[in-house]
Amino acid sequence: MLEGTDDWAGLESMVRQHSRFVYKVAYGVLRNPHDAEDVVQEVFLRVHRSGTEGVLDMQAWLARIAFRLAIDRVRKPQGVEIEGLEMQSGGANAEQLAIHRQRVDHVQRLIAALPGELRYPLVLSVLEELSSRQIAEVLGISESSVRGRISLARQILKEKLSALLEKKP
Amino acid sequence: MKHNDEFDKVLHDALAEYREAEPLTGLEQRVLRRVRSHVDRRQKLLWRWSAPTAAAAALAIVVWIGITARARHELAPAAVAQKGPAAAEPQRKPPESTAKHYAALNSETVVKTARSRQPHVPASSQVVSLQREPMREQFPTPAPLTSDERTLLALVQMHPAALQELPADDTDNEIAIAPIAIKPLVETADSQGEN
Repeated sequence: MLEGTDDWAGLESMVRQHSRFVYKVAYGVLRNPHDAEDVVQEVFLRVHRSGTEGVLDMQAWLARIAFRLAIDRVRKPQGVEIEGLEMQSGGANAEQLAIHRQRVDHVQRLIAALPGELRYPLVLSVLEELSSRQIAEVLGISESSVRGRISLARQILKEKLSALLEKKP
Repeated sequence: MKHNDEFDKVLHDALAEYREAEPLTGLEQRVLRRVRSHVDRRQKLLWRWSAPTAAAAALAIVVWIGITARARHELAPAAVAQKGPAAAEPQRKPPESTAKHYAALNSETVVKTARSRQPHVPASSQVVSLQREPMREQFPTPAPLTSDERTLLALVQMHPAALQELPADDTDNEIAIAPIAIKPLVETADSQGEN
């Protein structure tokens, strides 16, 4: 395994194997491709400096580094003005796709507006590479807390979306 | 129920942004290039600092050696003085009166060294005497002959043949040691009876 700074082949293999996953973790926090890529580079720089001696779960370890670096980059929460959104009512079949697309955009904004302790478990849960145990390790909370927070986040999103839809004529 | 399914679908599609997020092509190369450049930069920095550091260390060693050598040079006369008066002040010219005194002694035919006849003197007292006594003309300094030596010298001058009759000094001959022969123990009838 990669140990220290001399194992260039090991680092190269690790970058090829995990860089996209690390990118997704960073993007889940930052929602910005350029910032996410910067985080990926920083992650592997740190790996190169410190080595991987003693690391048991490589994916969880990389995800934790990426998550923390991404959190450090978040200057302030990206607030979303939900009140200004307007939902179109369903109409002809030709318009169904556009309406769905609009709702998806709206939920994405709602997700971005969630507090971090709810948003991060929800976002990380969609990454197939991470189990709930690994998410718990990344976030530093218990596995049951991860499941509870994901459930709560979904509940909040559902209520907000329903409220928005009910406002429509 | 239908509302729930619709929400789940919308949420699933909304989270696809995170699930399907893909970096721009060539992420791996960019990451490796950045790590490589970082390593190169660090090595250059290391070289940049190591050269002056090595030079400073070499200079410090040279200075230290110089100081040590100088201190050793300054301490040398005292150290030599403890070993004996001969090496302490070899270049100093003796006072005239002392030179005359020893010249008179040297007029006598003295073959043996004076050192062998001098009694043992502690090193500390030798240092003191070195500081007091002037430079001598001949080293080792000859001492006056004893009465026995004078008598022997006179005898040899009068009868050179007597020198041949003197017993040879056999201290250099090897000492012959007879091989040790250990006789085997013979058990006698008495000793067997005791056992």
